[in-house]
Amino acid sequence: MSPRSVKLWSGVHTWTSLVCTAFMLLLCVTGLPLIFYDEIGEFVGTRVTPPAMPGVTQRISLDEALAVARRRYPDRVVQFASQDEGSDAAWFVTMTPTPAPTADFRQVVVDARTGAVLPSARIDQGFLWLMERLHVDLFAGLAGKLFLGFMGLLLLLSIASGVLLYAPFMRKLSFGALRPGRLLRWLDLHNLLGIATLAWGLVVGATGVINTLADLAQDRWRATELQPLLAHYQGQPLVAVQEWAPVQRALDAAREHAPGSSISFIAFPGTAFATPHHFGFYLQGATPITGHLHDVVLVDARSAAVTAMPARPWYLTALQLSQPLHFGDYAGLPMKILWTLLDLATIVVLASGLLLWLRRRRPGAAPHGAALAWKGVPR
Amino acid sequence: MNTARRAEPGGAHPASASLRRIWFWPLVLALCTTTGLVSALFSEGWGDAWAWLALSMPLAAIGWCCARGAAPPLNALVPAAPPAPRPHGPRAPR
Repeated sequence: MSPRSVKLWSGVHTWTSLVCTAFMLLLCVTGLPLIFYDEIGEFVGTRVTPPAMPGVTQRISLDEALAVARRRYPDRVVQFASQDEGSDAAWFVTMTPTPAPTADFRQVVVDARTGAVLPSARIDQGFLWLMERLHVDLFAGLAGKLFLGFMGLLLLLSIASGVLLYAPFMRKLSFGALRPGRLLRWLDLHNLLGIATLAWGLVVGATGVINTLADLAQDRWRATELQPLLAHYQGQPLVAVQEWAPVQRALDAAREHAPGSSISFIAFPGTAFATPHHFGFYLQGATPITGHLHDVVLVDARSAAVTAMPARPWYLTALQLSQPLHFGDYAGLPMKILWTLLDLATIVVLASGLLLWLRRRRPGAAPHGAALAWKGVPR
Repeated sequence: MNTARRAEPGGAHPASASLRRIWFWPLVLALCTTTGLVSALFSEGWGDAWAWLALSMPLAAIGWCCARGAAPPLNALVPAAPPAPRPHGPRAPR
């Protein structure tokens, strides 16, 4: 690499990093507890495990469960409902002010055996909620998500330019050499941690950027894939709750339509995951890979008849696969621990990068002969 | 593969030899990471096991270098001297 391109890329590396570092540090720190979302949720009570009731096989219908939830929050509508994987002992019902996407959630956990409301902590406040808001949208909805997505793009650019600079820096050093001298050691540590976690950083960064586009992908899916299915409903308003067919019947119809898959969650009419005229029953397959991919069965909200199971477009496949790759929640606790350590390593890379930049600005701080980018890289 | 080619600057292909030396471990770690990330997506048993092992590799490399770097040999003090030996350098791929 010519000295000129080293200078150019080191400028790119410095400035893309500087712009995004503060936000990336925030994302790395808030991301740490989110790795253990389920475990912490269990601890703080947002995640509820229904008590064991051996021998009790009767289940209330989904309509009864929804009625229980509505009685709990009469001024809200049901946006989603789901059950834990492999257990039909409880319904988790998400209530929002309107069917529109929002961060204003209330959760009602209904015991499917007794119809009782199981006590659960609020999911719209508390530690996990705060971490999630700061990590996902900075309390600014779609704009916040897209902003963080842009910061993620800068991070990817900064990683790529860092990789380009790695070779000229390491020309006379063995892999992982940590030279003495405070500044040099930080530089070497920055390079070592950065290059060792390179692939992980790229994958988590890129899938994070993809996740920020989730709302837009969902909008596009409704506009392009679902519109053709809705010609029949032209001019009809959102199906009001009073006009809904029994939801349990719709659920049974969806299950019958796709035997062998289980229901991951249900989206109700008017929400981003359904249409104004349909329930959306989201299926998940039984294999590890299809367990992450959701196909939807659209069931007419008035008649409870299956309308269609539209093919999943590529961008939803990309989005759904990028979730596990970003969350690190698909290979048990060992993977979560590794995710934590890799996240901590990334924090060190970010902090050392910032430190090196700050020190470099103090005249005379760089040790004599230090092979820092701004001092001249070995040619 | 000709080991003399990589060893000395000014050899037959010093540039490519030096590139090989620089990129060997980063590539190994990147390969471990990506295969680990993907394998757990596709398989629950061995896929998860490989993911745990493979994702540990970058961390092990960091740990190993930090532990080793705690007492660097004297000649590491002058990395700028061109023919400086690399006592703890990685072996080039064969």
